[in-house]
Amino acid sequence: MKNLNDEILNKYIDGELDHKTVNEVNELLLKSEEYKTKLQLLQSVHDELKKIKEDETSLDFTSKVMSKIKKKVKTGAKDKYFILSISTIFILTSLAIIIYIFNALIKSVSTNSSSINMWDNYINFITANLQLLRSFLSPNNISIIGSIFSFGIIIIGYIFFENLRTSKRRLSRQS
Amino acid sequence: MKDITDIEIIESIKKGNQSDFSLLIDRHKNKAFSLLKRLLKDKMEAEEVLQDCFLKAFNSLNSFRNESKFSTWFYKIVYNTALTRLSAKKRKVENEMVSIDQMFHLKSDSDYRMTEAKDVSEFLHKAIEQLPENYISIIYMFYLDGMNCEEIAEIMNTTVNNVKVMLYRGRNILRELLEKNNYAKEIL
Repeated sequence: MKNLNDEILNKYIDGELDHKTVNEVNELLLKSEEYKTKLQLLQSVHDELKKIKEDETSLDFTSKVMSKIKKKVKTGAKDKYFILSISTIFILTSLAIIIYIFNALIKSVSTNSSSINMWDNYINFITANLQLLRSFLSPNNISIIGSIFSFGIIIIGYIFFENLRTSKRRLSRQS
Repeated sequence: MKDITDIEIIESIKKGNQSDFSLLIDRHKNKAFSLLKRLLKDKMEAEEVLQDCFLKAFNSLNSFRNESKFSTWFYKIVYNTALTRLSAKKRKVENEMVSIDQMFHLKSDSDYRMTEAKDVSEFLHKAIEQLPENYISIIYMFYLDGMNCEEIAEIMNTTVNNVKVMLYRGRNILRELLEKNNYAKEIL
């Protein structure tokens, strides 16, 4: 080894050189005052960096984070219950409709068992249900359906508005 | 409490003892805060970002596998969040090496600040703040957190060799600054 570059000096400080190279470096350091100065300065930088002290957060930092976590866990559970209840209602309603359709089908098939063509049964069933639907959509019922529908829209609007407000709050906190 | 490992605390949190997360916060907050404060150069912002980091860590605690230390995993979150914040502020994030222009800028800036420093220690601490973000990160993780180059490489998503090169370059820059600002006589 003829020269000591910065990399070797750094490795020398970190103790990453093998025994043979360390001896070579020591020899060069004894011969050259320039290398010696370089190493001493580098060593003092290394020693000073070791003295870096950690900064401290504000005293209530942990409690602040924990309260945020508790809040999030609570709202998470609330959201979970909300989704669970909505999906339960949806599943139960769908099940009721399916059961009703099957029940009606079975009834119509059993009453018209003499009938040869199965398609006739289905067509009769659909016609009967269409008539039922027509009577269901009578002017009196329409107003009831309309009010239920409006109520649903109001609830959806409220949820949407709440979500918008929460995300706005989050954004303002981030900026 | 000191005897309990991070992994044991995490197991307890996963079992439902969410309040145990405060133990992890207390353990890692100050070191992570020190790094964020140097990177973002704003105490309030550093604390705010650190809060977000802990929330992110809590939310994705289930994805934490015991393949690495919690500190390495958490520092990945801290480092990436800090970088995102910095890029959001349209600051330039250094990738690999310091360019000649930046070195020049660094030196002239530090020359100016030198008059404010009382001693070598204070001068160096001020000089560190002038270094590019990835150099500051490596110096803080290496010296303050006692991490090795492998862990730092994992956090910064780079090679061990790159980390070593940047660490050596960081030290060399600081050494050159000491020489340039006539601190050599004081030290030798």
